[in-house]
Amino acid sequence: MIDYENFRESVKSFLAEALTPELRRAGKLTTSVFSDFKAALAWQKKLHAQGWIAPDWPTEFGGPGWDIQQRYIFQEECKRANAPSVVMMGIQMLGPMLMHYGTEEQKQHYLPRMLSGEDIWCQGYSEPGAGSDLASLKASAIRDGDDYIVNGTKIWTSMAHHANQIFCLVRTDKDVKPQAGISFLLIDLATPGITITPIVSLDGQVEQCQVFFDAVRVPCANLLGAENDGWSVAKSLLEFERGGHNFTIDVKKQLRKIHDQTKLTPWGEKTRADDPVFRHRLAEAEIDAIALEQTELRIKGTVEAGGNPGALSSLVKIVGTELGQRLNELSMDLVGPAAGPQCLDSLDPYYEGNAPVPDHALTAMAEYINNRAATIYGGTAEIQRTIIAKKVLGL
Amino acid sequence: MTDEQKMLQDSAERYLRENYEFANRQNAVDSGNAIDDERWRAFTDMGWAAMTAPEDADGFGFGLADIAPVIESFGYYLVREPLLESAVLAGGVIAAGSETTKAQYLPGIIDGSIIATIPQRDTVPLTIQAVDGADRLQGDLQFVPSGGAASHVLAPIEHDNQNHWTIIDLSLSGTSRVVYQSHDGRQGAHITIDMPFDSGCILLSGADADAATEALYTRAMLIAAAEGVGAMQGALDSTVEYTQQREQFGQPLSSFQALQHRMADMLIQTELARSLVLAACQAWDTQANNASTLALAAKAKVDLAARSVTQEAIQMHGGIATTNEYKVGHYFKRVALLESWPQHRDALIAEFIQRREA
Ligand SMILES: Cc1cc2nc3c(=O)[nH]c(=O)nc-3n(C[C@H](O)[C@H](O)[C@H](O)COP(=O)(O)OP(=O)(O)OC[C@H]3O[C@@H](n4cnc5c(N)ncnc54)[C@H](O)[C@@H]3O)c2cc1C
Repeated sequence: MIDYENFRESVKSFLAEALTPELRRAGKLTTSVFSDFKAALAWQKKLHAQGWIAPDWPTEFGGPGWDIQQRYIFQEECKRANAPSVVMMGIQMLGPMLMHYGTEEQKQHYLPRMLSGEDIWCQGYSEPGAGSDLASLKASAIRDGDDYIVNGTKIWTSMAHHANQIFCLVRTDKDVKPQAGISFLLIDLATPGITITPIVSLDGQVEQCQVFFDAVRVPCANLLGAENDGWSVAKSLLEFERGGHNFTIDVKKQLRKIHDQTKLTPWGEKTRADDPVFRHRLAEAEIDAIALEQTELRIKGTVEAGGNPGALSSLVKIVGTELGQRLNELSMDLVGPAAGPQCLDSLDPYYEGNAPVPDHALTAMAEYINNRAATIYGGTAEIQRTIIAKKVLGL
Repeated sequence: MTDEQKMLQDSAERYLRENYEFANRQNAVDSGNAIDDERWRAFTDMGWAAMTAPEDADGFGFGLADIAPVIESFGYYLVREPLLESAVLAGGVIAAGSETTKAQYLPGIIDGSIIATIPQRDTVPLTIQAVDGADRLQGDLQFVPSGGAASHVLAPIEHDNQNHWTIIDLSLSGTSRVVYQSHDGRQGAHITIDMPFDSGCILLSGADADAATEALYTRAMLIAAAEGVGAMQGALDSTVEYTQQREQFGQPLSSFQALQHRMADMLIQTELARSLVLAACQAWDTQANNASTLALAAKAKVDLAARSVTQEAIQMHGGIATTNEYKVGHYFKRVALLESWPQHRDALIAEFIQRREA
């Protein structure tokens, strides 16, 4: 029997020790799924040294050997302590696929570098013409001896400007049905012929890029899975992206933040904490958060019992992201005109100047803006609903 | 509608369509200037700052209902210069003042040499304090939306149990401001005042000041609401156009009924909001009994509808709408900030309930 309370205490004392003020500030100032990159990397190194960087991985590849409950406790305590988020495309998304589809050499080469942060990965799926209809992607890889020659472009590639590796879906056969001619390639971003152009997001920060490939030589040994079998690899990965995330933890953090904010927000002679109308709105969202939590627990139960949660995973992505967006609106309602200033400097955790707004107001608008993307990336809310309609309801 | 009104509406729409392209606007934002001087000159040369000014001050004397379509165009083209704040709002308070202050400030407002702005509705009034035997005007104006662009700010004063409105020249010593870049492309400011009190700058006092406050913020709500309707229309048009061009799964996005219905809902919300705003402007212009209640209703309606319409617009565009380079997300940002201008929606709805029950 694992003593979970004891475990929680050991996580807490590690966090108390390891999280410097800058790292906590980076966590606090995180306005999207990504924290400040410098802080994220520093935090990754600390977690790596502790052996806790990949909670979901099996021990043979460097995981800590925790059960689902322990992983949940770890994530929860990290959020609570305002730890920055670690760039997740490698460890959370590609890692499990490598373990499943990778060759021995690939596993031995890539997995340790992924854990240490020596390799930072980004995900090259979407293209200008291929978003929801991902299978229509055009970037091509043509065999030339022991190499592929890659041409084309990927867009919305998160963190490509910080990454040194990209995993890509490329077309290796044009003459078959779209899904059947796609392969999964691991590409070093330092290879000649690659250009990375940052995209400024609506909040004024850069997180996404467009990546251009002009006759880029990639060794055939960098294929993950079989040639033309990239679609199955990608599909299992997308399920990780959708189902592997625990929305309740994020939502609870937002709720805590809003509760704190209510006490700081004047309302007539009192504060918003005393405004029955606002409290009612907040309670409605809180009730949905409890329903979400119970659904995630049901999924966890099914997975633990060796079952497949199926439909529940799609449902959770929709509910988790849309509830998160509703909570952003409640934050905005509290912050009022203090949402105006853009504060790009002050959102840098290492910035030492003064912000034009109090701390609790610093992130509200940027989060409200950035989180609109949550119902777009990782499969839009519409595509998720289509999946439910087709796969679950059989329509 | 008179010919004069029609001409004004058409020329405003045409000018903005031809000269206020989104890319230019963004260049102006990036240049770091609070306003685009050339556009500002053009606006005032075309007489836009005289729209609502009284005829005896060389204005056109239009009501808000007359200019509502022009205000909508400001929202539609994402105009960031504070023309309406200066000419209609600040200008309105000045026009209610004495002949002396009118003569002193209105011509500058109309020719654009003065850019006056106003603070949030729940701003704590400035005070007059005796310091070393001399009266000083003191206080802070927080989050003044166009405070970075302004040459003057109008401010409430509370003194001797009376309210007053004053106008402050922001180039004078004793005024200072922290200017910030705002998410809607404007430059806001925190303004701090600690200067010798000059009674000559008092625009209105007592009952006149109270009436001006009521008028000012009612008009501010109506202008923000009409601008919001323009933003909704812009978000809708962009969505309809984009989804017809963008193809996924071998067909235009607009062919998916799941999206068609949602665009129909966007139109429904835009038209409902437009009807309410126009009715509220008319009620205000004719000083109808329910004018203030309708203004509160119009602003609250636009706040909620514009929030949802602009969110839907982003969602139906997909990734492209999350970039700063693409226009549609800027409607979303603008209406998000309008939700707390001149005061947060929740406060307006609370007031709406009180008035309904009174
Ligand atoms: C912040 C952010 C980060 C991202 N990070 C990455 C990344 O790291 N790597 C990567 O590869 N990609 C990334 N993406 C891309 C993301 O996966 C795509 O944006 C997404 O798949 C949607 O594609 P699209 O943007 O082309 O929109 P489109 O597919 O053009 O869709 C536009 C709208 O139409 C709707 N729609 C489309 N088809 C249908 C239909 N059949 N029925 C009803 N509605 C439909 C969509 O739901 C959406 O509302 C990111 C995107 C964002 C915004």
